[in-house]
Amino acid sequence: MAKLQKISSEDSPASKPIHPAGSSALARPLRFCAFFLLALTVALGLYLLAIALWEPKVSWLVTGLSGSVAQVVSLCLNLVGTPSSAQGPYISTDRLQLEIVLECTGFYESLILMAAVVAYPCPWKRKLLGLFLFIGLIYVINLVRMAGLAVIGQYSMQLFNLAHVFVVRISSILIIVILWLWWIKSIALHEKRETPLSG
Amino acid sequence: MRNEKLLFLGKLVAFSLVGFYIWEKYLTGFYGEILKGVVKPVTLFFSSGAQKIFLWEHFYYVFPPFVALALALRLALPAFGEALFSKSLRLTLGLAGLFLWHIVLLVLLNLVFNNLSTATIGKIQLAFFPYAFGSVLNMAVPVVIWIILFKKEVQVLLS
Repeated sequence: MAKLQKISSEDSPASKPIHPAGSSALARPLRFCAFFLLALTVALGLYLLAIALWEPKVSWLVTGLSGSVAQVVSLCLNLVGTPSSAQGPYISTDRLQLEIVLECTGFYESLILMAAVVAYPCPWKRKLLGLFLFIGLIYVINLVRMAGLAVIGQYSMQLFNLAHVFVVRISSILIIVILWLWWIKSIALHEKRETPLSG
Repeated sequence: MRNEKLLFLGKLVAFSLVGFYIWEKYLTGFYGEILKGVVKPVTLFFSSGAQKIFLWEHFYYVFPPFVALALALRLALPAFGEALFSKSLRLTLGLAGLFLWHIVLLVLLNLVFNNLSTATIGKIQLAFFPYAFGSVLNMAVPVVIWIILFKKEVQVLLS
């Protein structure tokens, strides 16, 4: 008679993600990259078309987005003991005045990341999960970046100029890649197996 | 496995910071001059009446993250010497690819800015559209080149 053995939670196959060897989509990188660039082109094209057709409305949305970032950054500055105020996309302290432009809101990073998610071959549910997750995540990460920059700027403009370039130009690409790889590994390629009966 | 991911992240951050410092301090100006030396004659070849050559420095900052991404990956081939040579070659190809991309991008944008500078769509300068498009694509191109050239190492990272 077969003995039923208790499977410990560590050994439970249900808890282990199953991945094919590496990533099948990246086994054909040219195909994936072509889809990625196409998705990005379409997303950018739609955004630019919206600007061309409905510039006042788009400007209003952009100002709203920039303004929300400015409000939160100003709040963070106040929390760390630096009095500041936010008026629209502008932040003012006793030592500096910053303008939050669209590049500072994480909008373009979101577009690139969403194109990478859409282009990756996996069920649409997982893509949608990635899309919604990343819109919020990029916004929050960007708030942290902008608040950090504002705090640096309060103490040293020289350091601020250096940090500004690093944060806006360098870290954007790295954040996109890290989040995208994490999404592939944790969501896109994640498979659940049926658990065997345990007694 | 988790340690490998953390190691990759750690190396990525370290190489980014070092690469950014070196690029900012020593290489940005030098690269700008090289680009200008190529973009200007090519632009003038296509548009002899071009009044000004525009070079947007913020486009150049894709090099440090690309190099950091390439260096942070673990070598995938079994023989170390072979892998190192292959990685160096691929890194060089990637840098050359980025350089070519910048030439194409800047020549196209200069042609637009020199020939369509007064054209508008509503209140927006027409030249803004290819500029915005090129700027965002400029952030994506190093990632594309990285995936194509280092696909084996990226696959190992994801496994």
